[in-house]
Parts: sequence; structure tokens; C-alpha cells
Amino acid sequence: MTTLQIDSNDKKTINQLLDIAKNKFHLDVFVIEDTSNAKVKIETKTKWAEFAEKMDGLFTPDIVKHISTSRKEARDNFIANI
Amino acid sequence: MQTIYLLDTNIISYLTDSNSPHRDKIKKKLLSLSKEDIVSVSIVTLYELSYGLSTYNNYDGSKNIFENGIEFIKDYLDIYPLDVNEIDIFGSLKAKYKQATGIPKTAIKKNDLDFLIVATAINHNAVLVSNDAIFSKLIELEPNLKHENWV
Repeated sequence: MTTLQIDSNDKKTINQLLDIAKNKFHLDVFVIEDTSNAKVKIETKTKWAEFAEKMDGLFTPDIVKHISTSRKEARDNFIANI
Repeated sequence: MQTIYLLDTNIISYLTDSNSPHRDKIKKKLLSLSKEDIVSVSIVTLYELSYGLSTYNNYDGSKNIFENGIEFIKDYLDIYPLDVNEIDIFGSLKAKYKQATGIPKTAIKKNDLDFLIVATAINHNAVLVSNDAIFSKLIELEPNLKHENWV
């Protein structure tokens, strides 16, 4: 078995080289894509994106309605003598 | 650069409410924050939520949801207690507001918690995030206040 290394990111160039190899040398070609050094963009959620998702629907609509009312009550006369 | 955001109770409510028309805007803003940013609440917000929980008389099991939700907020966010550095800010701000608006003594009591929250935001150099109209007025009176409305 012979290993041929093609160091390129250009798919078109790679395919052209593979076609030449197949046609000229009558080779069976197995392609192994080495991505070990590739810069792979991994999107990770930030802490705040995760927080936003977890907060979504944390309370029922009934609870939210109650907070709206109780909040006003809590604020009324909280510091009555200042 | 790290930014500290102090969420008012109304923003917390919108975010947790699946039916709120404001929820998506707030979520979008949260998604734009960097992991270095700090999102916090004033202990006053937790006082309000706790009062809400204590007066919630729905026995269909949703009281547990309410309680767990408050615990989640307490665990996830930074909580700013009241601080001695905020004493002068509170007193000065309340006096300025009273003078600027001519609001009667009895009516201004309803805003005491707002003044406490503003004092906390200023003390921590935090951006106060709220949909309450009073903060737009307070920013005119207190130049050190940073306010954003994510709604």
C-alpha cells in the first residue's frame, strides 16, 4: 500500500490530483480526510445564552401575573416613614 | 470589557413568561452578552419575588415551580445586597426626584424600592435594565445612573 499525501484545502485541486492518479496509475483510491490540524469552528453557548434558555417558561403565566400584582403591593409603603 | 447588568423585576418576569411579547427581545440581548459580562439582580428584586411566593395561593403544584424558579435565579445570578455606600445615593436621589416632580409625600413612598435599586446600580457601576418609566426620569437627575431598556 502506498500513501500519497495531498496537503491542500482546495477540493477542486484534490479531486483533479486524484483523477490523475486513478487514470495514469490505475489505482484504487481511498480518501482519508485528516482534520486534526483544521480550524473547526465550534459554537459554544455562552453562560447567558444558557441562562436565557433556562429562564424561558421558568414561571407559569399565572405566576407572572401574580408577581405583577404582588410586586406593586411590596413596593407600596415599603419604607413608610422616610 | 466587562459590563455588569442589574435586571429589574419586570425584566425577570418578561423573560420567564412564555406569553410575554417582550421575551424574545430580552433573550436576544442576553445572547449578545459575552461570558465575561455579569448579570445580576438586586436583593430588592428577591424581596419582591419572595413576597409574591408567600402570597401565592395556587395549590395546583405551581407554588413549587415558583419556589424552584426563585432558587434558580438565586443560584445563577449575582445578587447585590444593600450597602452602606448606597445610603447617600438613596437620600440624594429621592430628594432630587421629589423636588423635580413635586410628587406628594404619600405618593413618593411607592418609589422607594426604585431608589434603592438605582443606588445599588450606581454603587456597582452597573447598567440598570428595566422597563419602568421612572428610570428614564431618574437618569436625568442622576448622571451616574446607566440605564437600558431591553424591551
